[in-house]
Amino acid sequence: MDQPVLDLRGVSKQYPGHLAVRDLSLTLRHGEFFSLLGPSGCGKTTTLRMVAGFEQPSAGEIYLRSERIDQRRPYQRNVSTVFQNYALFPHLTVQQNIEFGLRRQGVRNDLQKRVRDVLDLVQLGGKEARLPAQISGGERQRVALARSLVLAPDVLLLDEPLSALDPNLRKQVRTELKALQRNVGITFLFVTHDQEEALSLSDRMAVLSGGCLEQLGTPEEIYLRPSTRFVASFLGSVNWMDGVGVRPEAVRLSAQAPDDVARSLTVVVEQLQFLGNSIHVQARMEAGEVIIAEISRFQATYSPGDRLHAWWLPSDELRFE
Amino acid sequence: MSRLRRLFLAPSWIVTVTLILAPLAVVLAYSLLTRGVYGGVTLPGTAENYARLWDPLYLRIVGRSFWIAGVSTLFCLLLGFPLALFVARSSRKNLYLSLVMLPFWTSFLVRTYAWMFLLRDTGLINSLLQKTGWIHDPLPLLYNDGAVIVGLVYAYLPFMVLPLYATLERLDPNLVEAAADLGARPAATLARVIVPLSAPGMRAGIVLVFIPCLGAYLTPDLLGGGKSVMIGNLIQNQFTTARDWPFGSALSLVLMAIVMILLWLFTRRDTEGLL
Repeated sequence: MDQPVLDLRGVSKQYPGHLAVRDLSLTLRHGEFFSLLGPSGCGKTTTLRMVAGFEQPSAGEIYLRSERIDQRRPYQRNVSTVFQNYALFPHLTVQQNIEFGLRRQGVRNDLQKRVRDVLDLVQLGGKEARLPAQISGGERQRVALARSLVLAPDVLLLDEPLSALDPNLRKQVRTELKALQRNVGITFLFVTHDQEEALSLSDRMAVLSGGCLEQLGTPEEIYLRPSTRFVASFLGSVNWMDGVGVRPEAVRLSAQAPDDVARSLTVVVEQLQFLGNSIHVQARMEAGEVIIAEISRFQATYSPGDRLHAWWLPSDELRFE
Repeated sequence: MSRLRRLFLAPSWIVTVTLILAPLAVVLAYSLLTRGVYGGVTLPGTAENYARLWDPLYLRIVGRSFWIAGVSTLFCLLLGFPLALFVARSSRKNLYLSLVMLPFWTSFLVRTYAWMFLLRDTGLINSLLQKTGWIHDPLPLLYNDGAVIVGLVYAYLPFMVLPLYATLERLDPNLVEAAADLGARPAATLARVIVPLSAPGMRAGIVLVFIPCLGAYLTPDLLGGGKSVMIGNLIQNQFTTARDWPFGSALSLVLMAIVMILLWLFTRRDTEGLL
């Protein structure tokens, strides 16, 4: 098996009166898109900053290509960060921002070619002479990416790089980012609190909560087989019934009782919520609890007061010990 | 302009006219008259007072003033920048800022005299050096240009530190991290990110230090001992011992004109350099 590109072994970060990261172990494989997902304060950004070298771990070790780096200064590590606010140098042009790292490395001969290539890669040709204040938010994000990618880091660290973009642009940039990562083959460590981002972009992901690793796996494993109630709830809505969870899109509604293989309940429709691409049907069970079913708008012929059967497949149930 | 607006602006106009414009008009008028025998001014009107400025004796004093003010400003910048950077990055900013302001709580005159006690032949520095055997004869620390520069740097350092602190404190710490992340060692981060981005604070500090240094008269008088004459002392002398009010007035106006031209040049560059 390949040596991991990045290897965190039992890393902890203790702040005065607050343990930000607790005994975290992770390995990133070469060329994978790995996400750290969790709510704010879960330790994901602290973890990223320890890899970058802006914070020192209180315990544990970090290895980059089998070399221990946790005691090295940020400028002695071949990783590069895309900051949440991009942190472009406001007094330097796009070109000078991208050259910054190469010049620090003493690159002279093919400097112009490398800058041109990366500008083409992120489609920023023609903007070389602009200052960061003179380009759009999406372009600034691409400059930040280019500035890091041009250095060919072993791991590219991304700290919520899409959160500053407006929602429409965000989905488009998400697709571009994934394509870019495939294209350059660089390992990405991506920090986000947006589960949709993590699910759609990652090869593998880790869910963190309160500084602890909750679950590690592929997006499918984590969404379909969450190992804790926290992970199940954080990745999407769940109907909780006697400790068993069912996601709204797994709940089906029908007028007739389904086959005996399915779990079934009689419910009364209370209200319908139109969400554009789907409809949430809120219904009440006989026991008095509310269940939500997500259905396609093409089958939404229900109205409040309808008595229906709500059912799901046992394989769609989320169970925890 | 509405009547109400005029009413509310009236106090500031009264202050401006009575305390700034009227005295300036008097100074301008004096500068164009002939000196009286026992001070004061008499007719006839003349431009002679301005022509006298071209006397090499006076030009040398103007040159010296620029030199001393320039060197003092440079030292303020060299000392003030690290201090401002330290305060901006400290977790006890308020404590250090109040220490920077602390000297203002005592009279400038008293503080200048304190420097005389430190620097004179029998002063603290010389007697300490003599007692420890480092020197035999006292060093000539007082009554020279060096003493004047020390006094000016001491007096105006806070005016350099405060605007520098204001820009450095606003500097996004992510930019410093980004520089290190891209492979810049601390010296390169300082030279290529921190210093260029604090340029507005430097310009403000340079203006705030250079202008009062150029017009200083108390510090060169006390610490320079009359040997180190600057424009300020020349002006002072015209109104006291020399009893030449018209020439003093002309000198004052020329100093003011120089300062305004410098300010204009500086602020013009500031707006051009703004992002």
